[in-house]
Amino acid sequence: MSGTAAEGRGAQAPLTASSDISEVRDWVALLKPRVMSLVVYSGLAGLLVAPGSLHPVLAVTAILCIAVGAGAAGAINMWYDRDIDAVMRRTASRPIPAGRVQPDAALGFGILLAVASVLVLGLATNWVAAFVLAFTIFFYVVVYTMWLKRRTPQNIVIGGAAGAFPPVVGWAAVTGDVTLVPAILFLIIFAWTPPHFWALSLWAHGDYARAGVPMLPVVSGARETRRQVLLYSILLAPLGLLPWAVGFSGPAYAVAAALLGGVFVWRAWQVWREPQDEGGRSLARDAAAKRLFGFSILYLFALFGALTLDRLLLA
Amino acid sequence: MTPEERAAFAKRRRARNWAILFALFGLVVLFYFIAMARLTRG
Repeated sequence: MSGTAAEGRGAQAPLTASSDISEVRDWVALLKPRVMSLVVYSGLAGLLVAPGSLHPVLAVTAILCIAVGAGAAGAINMWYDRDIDAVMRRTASRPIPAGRVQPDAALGFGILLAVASVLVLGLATNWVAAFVLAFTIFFYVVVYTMWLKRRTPQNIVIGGAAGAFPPVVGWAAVTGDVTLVPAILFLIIFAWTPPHFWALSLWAHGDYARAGVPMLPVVSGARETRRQVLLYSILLAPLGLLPWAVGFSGPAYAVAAALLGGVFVWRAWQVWREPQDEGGRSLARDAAAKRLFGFSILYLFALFGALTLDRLLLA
Repeated sequence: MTPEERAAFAKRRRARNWAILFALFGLVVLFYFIAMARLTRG
């Protein structure tokens, strides 16, 4: 843990008066709604492509539980990371470092939602899905946030597994088991996470350095980060074709996955070849990294959308 | 604590109590529908 960040732990700004609406907004912000949208989407995709059916009420409940579970993990993450959030420009206005929510209250809120989401999912669907959701929350909070994030530049690689579990939860909610296909969906998001976050960290590394978070550009430099982004993108492109390769989806999906994977690698190649100084720092305001980051979000939405459409309409 | 601060504090606490009441009510309704859905499936 870095000195600067560690010294900030426990020292919060005093609570400020706020209106009822802004207070509600702060509690919602603790759930990291933007991250939640991707989690809900991939969880829904896992649920929709799984063989079998689920009563609509139970399906909606399952998605609600995945969303609340992800939000709970986000709230506990914000409680633990309040010291580094306070020194990073991107996160300084979050409810805890800004002094609008007490840390202990955020922790209690997160734990309550985590327990509730796992129990309700178990009661509504099955305990395999509930166990995977519980493990996801544990992985994000303990393995990523508390253990890896401040210790290794590989934090995103291993910690990214937490974000890869939602389609497995969705699948397990319908089938009650975890087989090859949900494992492939897991692998796709797992390989997608490093280039997605490292593209962001190429232009946000100043924030991470200030907070003492050993993101790859901070520890190994921008040049190595560009190389890793390209390598993971080359790994990701064929992984996207696996659902078709194992016979789970048809040629329409394969075409979409090949196109999306090709564009992803091309964008990563542009990041690698961008005009840069000898340290790998961009001379073009990280335009290529920003384009890759934007496209990576589109990639995941489009890939899972194509898989869902292929299964629901063309299978 | 000034009277204004006390009033603001009481207002926030009242709002939070309502939020908890709504959350509990929502949970009851959710459990009702889950139970009905599971019973329907047999």
